[in-house]
This record gives sequence, C-alpha cells and structure tokens, in this order.
Amino acid sequence: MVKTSPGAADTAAEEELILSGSEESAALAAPVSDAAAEKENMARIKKIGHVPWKKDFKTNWVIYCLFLPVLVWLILFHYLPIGFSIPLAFKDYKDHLGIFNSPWNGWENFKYLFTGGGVGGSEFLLALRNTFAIGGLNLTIGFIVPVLFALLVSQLRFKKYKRVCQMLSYLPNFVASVVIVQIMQNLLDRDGALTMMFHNLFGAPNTNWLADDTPAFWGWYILFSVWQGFGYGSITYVSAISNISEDLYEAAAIDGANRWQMMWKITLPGIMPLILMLWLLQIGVVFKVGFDRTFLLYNASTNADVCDTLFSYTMRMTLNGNLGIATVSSLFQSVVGTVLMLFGNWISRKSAGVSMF
Amino acid sequence: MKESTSQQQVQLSPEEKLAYLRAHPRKIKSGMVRGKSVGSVIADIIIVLLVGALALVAIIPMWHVLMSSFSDGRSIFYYSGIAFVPEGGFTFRAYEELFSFEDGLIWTGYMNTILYVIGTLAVGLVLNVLAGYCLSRKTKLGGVMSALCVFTVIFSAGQGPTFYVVDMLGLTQTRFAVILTECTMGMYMIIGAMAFRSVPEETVESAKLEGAGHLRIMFSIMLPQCFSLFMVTVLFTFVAAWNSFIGARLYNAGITDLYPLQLILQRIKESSDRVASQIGNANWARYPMQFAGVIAATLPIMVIMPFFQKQLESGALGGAVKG
Repeated sequence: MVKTSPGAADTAAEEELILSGSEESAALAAPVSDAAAEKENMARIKKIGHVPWKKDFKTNWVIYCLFLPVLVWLILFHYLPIGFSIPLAFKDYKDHLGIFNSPWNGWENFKYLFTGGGVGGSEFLLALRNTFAIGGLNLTIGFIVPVLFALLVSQLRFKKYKRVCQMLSYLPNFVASVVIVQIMQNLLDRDGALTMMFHNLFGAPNTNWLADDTPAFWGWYILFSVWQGFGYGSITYVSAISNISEDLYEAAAIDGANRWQMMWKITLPGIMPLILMLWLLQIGVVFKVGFDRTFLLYNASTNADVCDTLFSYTMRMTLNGNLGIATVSSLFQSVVGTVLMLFGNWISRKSAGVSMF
Repeated sequence: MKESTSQQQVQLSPEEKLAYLRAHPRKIKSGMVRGKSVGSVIADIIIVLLVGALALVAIIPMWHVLMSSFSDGRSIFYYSGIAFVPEGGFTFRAYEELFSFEDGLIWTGYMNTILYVIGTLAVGLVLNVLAGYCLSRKTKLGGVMSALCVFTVIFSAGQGPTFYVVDMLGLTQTRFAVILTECTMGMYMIIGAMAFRSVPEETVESAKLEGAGHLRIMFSIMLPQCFSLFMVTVLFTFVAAWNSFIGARLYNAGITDLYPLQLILQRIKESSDRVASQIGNANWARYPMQFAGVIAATLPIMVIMPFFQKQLESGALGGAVKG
C-alpha cells in the first residue's frame, strides 16, 4: 500500500499495491526500510533493462508461458469487454442482429441517457443523483462511525471483553446482501420492529419505509450500511491506535492530562494520517461499492425515484437487453469512478505520502 | 522517587521529557496513576457499556431472525417488535417447511453455491498463484504484465459489455459464467505478487541450483512459505462467492437449476410473503420459512468466520478500501 517516495511512484508500471493490514502497520512503523527496499527494487529493474530480449526469452520463456492463462483471463473478462464498449456504446444493439449488423446510431445512446427514459424525464439522472446521495452519506457518516467505534474500543482495558465485542461487531460484514435486504424489509415494514420503534419514540409515521419515495430511504439505507460495516471498518484504526507509542501517553499523564485530552491530543492526531488516507482512497471506490442492495430493493412502482442507482440502473438495462444503454451507463460510471480514484490517490500521495499506485 | 521524578519533569521541554522517559521507563511506571480516579472509573463503566451495546446492536438483527425462525408463524406475523425469544412457543415447523419447499429447492441452492464456491476458489487460486509468481520474477516483460493487472483495478468495463462478451463466448446459462467472472481480480494478483516477493531470493536460487523447475519452485518451495499471505485472498473470495448473487442473476437469469442459495432465498421470501396477502386460508408455517432460509444461508459463514479472525483482521485494510 505504502509508497513512501513519490518520485519512484511515477516510474511506470512497477506496482506496489499492498493491501494487507500487517504490511500496512509494518510500513507505518518503518517507512525508511520501505523506501530502501523500493530503491533496491528499482536498481534491480534497471539491471534487467540491459539484458537483450533474446537472452531474456531464453531464460524466462517458462514464466511467460505460465502467465498465459492469466493473460487469457484478463483479456477475456477485462480487456475484451473494454474493447467492445466502444461499438456497443455507439450502436443501436439488437440481440437478433448481433454486434456487427446492428446499426450505428451516433450519440443517441448518450442522448437517451441524459434526456429520455422514465415518465418524468431521465431515469439515469435520477440514478446519478441517488448514487451521489448514498455515496456521499457513505463517505461521511459511513466513514466517521468506524473511527468513533475504534476510539471507544481502544479505551477498553479488558482484553477478553475487547476481543469478544470486536468479533461480534464485525460479524454483519460477512452477511450476504440478499440477507441484509431481507432483514431491512422485515424491520422496516409497516409494522416492522424498527418502524414501530421510531414510531413510538419519535412519532415517526408507521409506513413501509422501503416503499417510501422520500429521501428518508437514503437514511435507512445508510443506517444498514453502517450497521454492516462499522465493526470491520474499525479494525484498521484499532490496530493503528495500538501502535501509538505508550511513551506519549505516559508523558501526557505526567503533565496531568486526562483521558479525554489524551484522546484528542494523542490518539486522534496519531491516526489522522491513516484516517485521511483511507478517506481519500474511499473516494476512489465511492461510485462502485455498496450499491448491490439497491438492485434488490428497487421496485418500479414504489421507490424508484430514490432507490435507483447507477448500479441497479445498469443491471436492469443489461437484463432487459438494452446493452447499448447499459454500456453507456457503465462507461459513465467507470470513467467517473476512475477519475475519482486517480484524484483521491493523487491527493493522498501529495498530502500523506501514501498511495495505492 | 515519585515526587522527585515529577518535580524534575516540570522544568523539561517535551522533547527532553520524552528522551528522559525513554531512558528511564521503569522510574516513570511507578509514578503512573492512570485512570484510578472516580471520574475515570465512571468513564470506564460508560465505555464498557457503550461498546457492549454497540456489539449487541451488531448482532440483534441476526438474533431477531434466528428467534423468528423458531417462532410460531401466526404469532410472529402479528408480532411487531424485535423477537428476543421465539414467539408463540419454540418450534421447528419453519425449517420443515423450508427443506420441503418446492421439492427441496433449497438443496439445489446449496449444491450450486458449493459448486460456485469450489470452482471460484480453485480457479481464482490458480490464477492468483500463477500471476503472483510471474509478476514477482525478474523478467523484461514484468512491467508490462503488472501494468495489465493494475489497469483492471483502475478501470473496468462494467456489467453491460461484460455480459455481452460472456454471452458471445457462449458461457451464459452455464456455471462457468459465474465462476470465471468472479474468481479473482487484479487486486488479488498483485497481493499474490507481493506474497511471492516475500520469499527470500536465496531459497529460490538454491532450489534452482538443485535443478528444480519453475513449477516445482512455485508450488512446492515458494507457495508453502508464503501461503499465509494468500490466505486473505482465499478468505475474501470464499465470502464473496458464498454471498454472490449478481453473477448468477445476470448470466443465468431465470434458470432456477443454476441459482445459488442467495437467489433461492429470494424465491423463498416472495413465496413466504404471499401468506400475508391470503389471510383466511393461510399456511402460517410458511411465513417464518423466510427466516429459516436466512439462517440456513448465513449459518455456515458465521460458524466458519471466527476461526479466521486473525486473517480477516489482517485483511481489513483491503476490505476497507475495497468497501
């Protein structure tokens, strides 16, 4: 994950994408050794550069052969779809005609995306709005709660109790989307437990919230996202907090700081770089991740206006056989997602010195 | 000792103090009175209760489902609250209904899910290991190979074109569509490369001198040494494959015989909800069947997960970034 020297990061295609917690903590602890390893790596690469192609093939042909299955897989399921996006996007794709005989229709698919569609205008624009709304809530509430939970958990002194609570808190993360949706439907029904709870406590109307065409839907959606993710999301922070030097707390204790002050002045600043980094990286996936439940919850006659997202829209278009529209929508989603990802990554590298690529 | 230490400290700047503390850790420990005051004890109690409450919140919905699945159908249908105990007496009726639903449709779901999980894990692991080994070796094309993997992390074509290609390859309406599209991703290949890089180069060199070929080096010398790093990808692939429904919904739409458990669950839910609309001659045991289905689909994962707590925690950063 961690690329400490920004200069080396730009050297083409030498990926260093470390995404495991242990690596992370190791890198946080020892950025110097990481940089040294990187330099060594670059020196190695340079040396290889001088080997003539013929000799390289003679020694490494087995490796290239071993890579063939991977290459075939990458081409079939990643590069071929990317290649076919272009004709699909600009054609009026008809299943019975096939891609070569379907007529070209210029920018019609794009036009349809932004103007046509639903009864009241473009379904796609609504889906875009909802994606931004849910994604935005994910980036704020969905991001803050795990941090707060980690701060709380790290204050616990009973090790056993801490382990058990953490374990329980991240069980929901492994529950299937289909199951989460069924639980949502059960609890938020007209006489569901959550609906009744909010009705009795705050006087909220007891309606079927998931069939409700108001932005309250986003609130419920994010509530369940937070429920599902807060425990697992907090693990990284908990381990980062436990890596903060005990000396700092001791020094503060001698100065007479209380726990509250220590949390604000030591713990939080201590994990701030990590928080910032994860937030910036989260920006990159905010368009792509966490929307599969909208596809399951979508109901054309009740909650279409607030539930439809780019994911569910694209899924629906694909299933309906509107591959042209689906492709344009996917393309839009991918391009915006990629731009956001590179942007978040770039800022993260500039400000915190860490990045994914 | 205590007094003298703290009095000394008052005069020191923070840097000096830290240096002093590092040099004399023992001295300070004796003077430490962290969290022994009344306020601190109260804070401790509040924190313990709060964290406990949040941990409960995390599992209460699942508990509600579990208890609902053991409840009497009519009672749980008219009950509007969290079921902490089985409503209307403990019964297994819901599970009987579940396993006899449409001639044991759920077993089809189990079988398909298991096939998908095994296929996904096997193909995914082979691809990850091959890619990881190739990317970790010094070759002239190494940069190109890793660029090919990294690019798929940054940019993807999306469901529409992928569906087109899978259909074009004739894979739709087969299990291979789900297995091949969901078996791995660029990210896991890169993790694989890192795993192989963690093996000391001397090990590989000495194996080469003894005449071991690439396959031998990869599978019987390097892989056993770094398999713990692959474990994260295996676990995530397993969870994702068990919970997956998108692939089957997209590529095998309408073919119940190829549906995994998750899609069968949806069928069960729809059928069980129909009870609500035909009050009068309703088969009430059908209603809690949906809860029994959820438990049947979730229990295997919930049972397995605690054994892998350590690996899951080490993979948490990847999960956080990936979402």
